[in-house]
Amino acid sequence: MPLRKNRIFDNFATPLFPPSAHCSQGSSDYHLNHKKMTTQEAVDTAKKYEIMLMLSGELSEEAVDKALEHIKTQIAEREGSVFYEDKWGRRDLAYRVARQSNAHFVILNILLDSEHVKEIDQSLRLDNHVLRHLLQQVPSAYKVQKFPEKIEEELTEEIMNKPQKKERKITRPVPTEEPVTVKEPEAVEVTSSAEPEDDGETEEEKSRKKLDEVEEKLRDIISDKDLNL
Amino acid sequence: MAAFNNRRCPFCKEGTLVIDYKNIPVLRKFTTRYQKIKPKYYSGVCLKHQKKLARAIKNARFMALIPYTQ
Repeated sequence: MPLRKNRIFDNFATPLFPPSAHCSQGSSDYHLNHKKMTTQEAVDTAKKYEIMLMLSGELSEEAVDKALEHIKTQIAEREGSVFYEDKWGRRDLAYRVARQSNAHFVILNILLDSEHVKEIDQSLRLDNHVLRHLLQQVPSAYKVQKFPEKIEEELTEEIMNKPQKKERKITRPVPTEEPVTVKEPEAVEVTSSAEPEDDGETEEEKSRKKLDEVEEKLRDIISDKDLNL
Repeated sequence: MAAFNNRRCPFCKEGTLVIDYKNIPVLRKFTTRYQKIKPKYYSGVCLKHQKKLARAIKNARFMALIPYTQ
C-alpha cells in the first residue's frame, strides 16, 4: 500500500503517529498542522453547522426519533449542541433513492468544534437509516428559516380564484332566411307599354332568371371562336 | 454584456447574501422546463449570485428536493 497523506487519519480519535516535537499543545494540534491554521486557542471556536438528514422511508415515526437521538448523542459526545431542530416529516422524493420513493427529512442546526466535523460526517455515512446527509457550514449572514412549499399553495389558490372563462358566443352575423313572401299577382290592366311585372314575381323566379342569363353568357363565351379556353 | 432584455439581477435588488438550497420555489424560477439551470444571460442573474444559485440547485438535487432532469 502506498503511503497516504496525513489528512485521512483525522477520523481516528487517537493519532497513529505521535505528535511532533515542536507541537507543544498536545494531540489536538496534530490535526491543525497541515490545515495551515495557527495554533492559537481562538481557532477552536464553536462554529455553526447545518445537517440535513434523509432518513429511510420504511421507518416509522418512533424509529425516526430513535435514530435522531442516536445522532444527537454522538454530537453531544463531541461537545456539540443542537440549537435548532426541524422535522419536515415524510416527503416524496424527486427521484428514487435506495429504491424508495419517500423519506423523512430532518434539519439540525448545531454548534460544533471544527475538529469533530469529519467524525460526525463519518458516523452519518455509516448509519444504516440515513440515506443521504448534507453537512454544511452556515454562513454568518444566515437566518434559520422555514420555507413554505409555495408552488403547490400558489397553484391551488390560483385555481380557486381564477375567473372562469365566459363562454364566448359567436358574434358573426348568421344569415337568417327571410320568409319568402308570395305576393299574389295583383289584378293589373294589361298596358301596351309592356312593363316587366316585377311586383308579381317571387324571389325564386328572379334568381332563376339570373341563372339563365348567366348560363347564356357562359355559352356565348365558350362558343366564341376568338377565345382560346 | 447586457442580459436578455436588459434584465437586472433579482438577488442584487433584494440584497440577498445567502441562497438557500431548501428554498425550492425560488430555485425553480431559475431552472428550465427540463429542470436544467438557466444561463445567467437569460435570467439576468449576476455572476456572484449565479455561482451561489448553481451550488444551491446542485445541493437540492443531491437531497432529492429537485430532480436532475425531467
